[in-house]
Order: sequence, then structure tokens, then C-alpha cells
Amino acid sequence: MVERELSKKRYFLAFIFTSAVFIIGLLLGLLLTSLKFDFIDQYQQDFRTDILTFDVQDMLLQEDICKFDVNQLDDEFGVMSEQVSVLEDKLGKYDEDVLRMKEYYSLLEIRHMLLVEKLKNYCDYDYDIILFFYSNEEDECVDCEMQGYLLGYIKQKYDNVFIYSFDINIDNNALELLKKRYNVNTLTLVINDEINYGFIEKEEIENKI
Amino acid sequence: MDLSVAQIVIWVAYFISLYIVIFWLLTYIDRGVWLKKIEIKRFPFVSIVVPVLNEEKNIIWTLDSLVNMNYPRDKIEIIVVNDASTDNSRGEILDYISKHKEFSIIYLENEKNMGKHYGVNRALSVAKGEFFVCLDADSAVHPEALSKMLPHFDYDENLAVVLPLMKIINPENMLQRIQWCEYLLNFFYKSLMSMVNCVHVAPGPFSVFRRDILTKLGGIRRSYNTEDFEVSLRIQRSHYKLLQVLDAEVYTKPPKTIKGFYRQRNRWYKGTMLTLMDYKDMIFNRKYGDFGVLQLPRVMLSGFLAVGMITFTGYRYVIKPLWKDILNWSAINFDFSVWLRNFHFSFNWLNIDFTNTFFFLISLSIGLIIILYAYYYTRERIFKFGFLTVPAYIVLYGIMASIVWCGVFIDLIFRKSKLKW
Repeated sequence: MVERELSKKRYFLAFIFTSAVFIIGLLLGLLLTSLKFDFIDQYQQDFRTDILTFDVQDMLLQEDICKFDVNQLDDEFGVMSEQVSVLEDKLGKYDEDVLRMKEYYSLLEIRHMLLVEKLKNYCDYDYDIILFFYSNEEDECVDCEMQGYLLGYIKQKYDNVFIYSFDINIDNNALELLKKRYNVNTLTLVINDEINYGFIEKEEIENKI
Repeated sequence: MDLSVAQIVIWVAYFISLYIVIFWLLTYIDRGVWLKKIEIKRFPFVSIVVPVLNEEKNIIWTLDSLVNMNYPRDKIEIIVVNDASTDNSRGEILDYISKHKEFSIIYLENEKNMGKHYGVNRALSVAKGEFFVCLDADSAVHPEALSKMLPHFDYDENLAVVLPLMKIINPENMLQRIQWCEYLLNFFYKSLMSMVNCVHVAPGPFSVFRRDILTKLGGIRRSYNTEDFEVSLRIQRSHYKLLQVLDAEVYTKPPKTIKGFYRQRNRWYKGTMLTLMDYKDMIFNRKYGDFGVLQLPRVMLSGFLAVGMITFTGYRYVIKPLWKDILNWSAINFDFSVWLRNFHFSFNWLNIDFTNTFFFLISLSIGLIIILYAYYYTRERIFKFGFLTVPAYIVLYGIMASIVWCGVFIDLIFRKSKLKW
């Protein structure tokens, strides 16, 4: 009969090493996620500067407002939007930092929208403005995600379409005003001031713009 | 941090898998692998049984390898047991015997198909050798294998079985090359396991048993077509040793098709689970040392881990996003032209899932280290069968094995435990 051994020391060491790998992995994740916040903060700062630049230009050169290239803000907007949704996916929709970031992002969206509206009216540009009010709560809105994807497609297809997405659960006074202005329900699409409730098909949106 | 059930399951499975791999790496650092080479000083009588079931294409290859062994021919008896083959195995064997009268080759034939265990036991009852070896009729043995394996018995009376290094011969397609890679890794792992007497299965091709111990333990028992595993558990239960050596080679032909691979593995895995249930008292039993506390729980858990990993990883990273994509694509009437027109590659490193990527890279690094060690100790070249073999093994083997495990659990749940060869 062979004598049995129990490699207790190795069990312990293996546990220590495995736990170390796990702890390093989790810490690394947290560390790099905080870097992501800094990255988005930087983008928001840049965007705010651009908006301010526009405001100053607007005040200095009233008659030249139409020379302002609004598309230059689009790239920054795109990156911000992507990062916010990545963070929301990663940290969860109830994470305080994510909610704070989304609130700020919504305000920047409103500011951008006002700018586009001004250009549309003052310079008579052929812009289409779509406001997309959605909810991330699946029991509140099952079609919101699909509607969002469809609007992304519309944005890519038509250069002159400006789409602004607002989470209706964000608690902000400016957003509340906007929601009242359009009598917003869960899934609401405002296409050039025309209010639509529920999921709107691709063809219908294309007919309205 | 947003933790879903899928993420937790994946992490738990990952933690356990990593723990086990690190344990064996520490065993390697502490003990190394069995490399002791002992010159053969005496040539004991050896009985070799070759169970045959419809092996007319392979049997001559197998018998040739036995008669060409570098071992005194008067010290070997070969017992061929034909388990009622329906092909021309009988004719091939009898013809071979008539042409090799200088060798002691005994031919036994079952009137009806009785299973491998019956044939092996029938051979065991007539065997005269001090050592008893079973060689499946789809395998062949290196001329020096026996003389390299036998001397180990002289130095340890508790040693019941010596296992050879089994290699895939001439892999023809990628599936066989993946199995070639798998075998090298498995047998390297087994050599680590044998350093702490944790070998849990003595494979069919050319495991050398002490005949008296095997007879005392009751020979080979029918056990869900995984008799190799069952007899190894019995040997472990009786506190004997199984030793994996890496210098004695045996060659086998693996399944060539996905279907064949699935059937073989389904039989192995299912048999393993069912046999393990018959020996459940050994699981987590400190009486059996590391074998009871670590190895058997690992064998038992491997199926659950594989199923957990594949289902939750598949759900989280493939099925859920794909389903979402299909729904979204239907909203745009599958019009990809806009997307293609505006497509530009963009990469933002901040979008990476850092934690899971880190775990993946750690696993990959450890896996590559083990692969390098396995190839080194089994004397193989990594790119012997092309540059794609190892990457294909890394990417596909886990998925293939996990899919088989899913099939096994489905079969067991729906009580399809009747096994076929």
C-alpha cells in the first residue's frame, strides 16, 4: 500500500496565486474604467469649449453665423455618445457616475440642438431634427433599443439629419422642460416638431424627413 | 460594477480552472516530471492481449508492432481475442498467425459480441505472464516501449500500472492534428499527476499491469464502456500506484471526422461521469490524498465547468448580441449598404473589457507555457504539422470538448445512458 499525501502547501499557494490573478484583473478593470471617465471628461470639456466658441462667434459676427460649421462638433459628439453607452453597459445603468455623465451629456445635446435649430431657422438650412426620448428599463420600453439602432442607420444615411437621444429617467430640469414641451411618453420620437409615440418604422421616418 | 449571472458563472469557472492549472504548475516546479530512465536487467514473461472488433484494416499493423518489439520473443505471449467481428478480422488474424509460427500467438474467439472487458478477462484467465498488457487493435507500439516500461516495476512493489506516452500517428486532417496536440498535453499532464499518484485512467493502448494485482482486484469490469477508468479507480482505491512515463511510445489512430470524434468523446465523458458515480465515496475523501481531494473532484467538475463556460460565454458573447443584431437588422430591412458605405475602422482601447481581457491573456500565457513544456518532454516539434495546429487547438479544442459535454449532460438528463462503441 502506497502512502497517500495531501499537498496542503500547494493547495494554499495555488489559492494565493489564483486569487492574486483575480484581484489584479479586477483592480486593473476598475483603474482603466476610471481612465475612461477622465477621457470622456476631456471630450466634454472640448465640446463645451467649441460651444462657447460658437456663442462668442455668434455675438461678434451676427450676420456670419451661417458660416459656422456645425458638423465639426459631430465627431466629438459621436465619441462621447459611444463612450457613455460603453460605460453604461460596463458599470450598469444605475451607477451614479454614469447617471451624472448622462445628465451632462443630455445638457450638451440640448445646447447643440438649440444651435442647429438656430442655424436651420436663421440660415434656412435644410436640416432635419429628430428628438428620441427612450427608457433603458426593458419593462418600460421593449422597442427602444431597436429604435435607437434604426436612428443610427438614419443618421448614417442622411447627412443633414441631427438626432438627439434623451433618457427620460434622467432627472434634470432642462430635460423636464423639453419633455413637457413635447408631452413625452416612454418611447417618443419628435421629427421636425411632429410628435410620434411608439416604434416608428424606417420607411415612415424617411417619409417625414 | 454591473455583474450578470453569466459573468459570475464565467468567473467562477475560470477561477476553478485557473486554480487547478496553477496547482499542476506548482507540482511541476516542486517535483518535475518522471524522467528516470532505468536499463532493463531482467526480461520477465509478458502477456499481451489484443481485443479485436472489426479491425481488419488495422490488426496487421498492431500485430506487426508487437512482433517487432525489441524484447525476447520467448518471453512474450500474444493473445488475440476476436469479439465476434463481422468483417474479415478472423481471416487476417489466422493468416498472420500461420505466417508467424515462431511467436506465441494465441487466438480466442467469442461466439457473440461480449464487450471488451469480457475479452480481456478471458485473456487474463489464460495469461501466464508476470505482467499483463492490453493493446487495442487500432494502436501500435514502439519497439523499445516494453523494455523501457518494465524496469520501473522492479523499484516499487506498490506500482500496479505503468502507462506509456500515447501519440497520434500521421494525423491527416486538422481534427486529427488537434487531437495530436491534445494527446501530447494530456500525457504531459498525466506525468505531472503521477508525481503525486493522481493518475485517474490507464488508457487502453499498452498500459502494463502487474498481473497478480490485476487478478487480485478482479480483472476488468464492465463499466459504461470506460473500463480503463474503472480499473484505475479500483487500483487507486486499493492504494496502488500508477506511473506515467514519457519515454515509451505507443501510437494510435484517432477519429477522422467530427461525428466520430463526438461519438468517441461522448462515450468517454459519459462513461467517466457514470463510473465516477459508482465511486463517489472517493470524491473529496482525504483517505486517498490528493487523488481524492483534488483529482477526482476535478474530473467530476470538468464537465460542469465546460458546460458552464460554453453556455454562459456563448450566451453572453454570441447568442445575446447576435439575437440583438438580428432584431436590429430587421428594423433596417437588412440594408447593410449604408453601413458599408460609411464603414471606417476605429479602435478605442478604452472600449476593451479590461478584466476579462486580462484573464484571457493570463490563461493564454499559462496555456502556451504548458504547451511548450508538453512538446519539450514529449520530444515533438511545435510546427511539425504546420503553423496552424497549435492555434487551432487553442481556439477549437475547448469549444469542441465543451459541446461534447453539453451532449453528455443532455443524454444523461434524458436518460440516454445506453452506450455504443
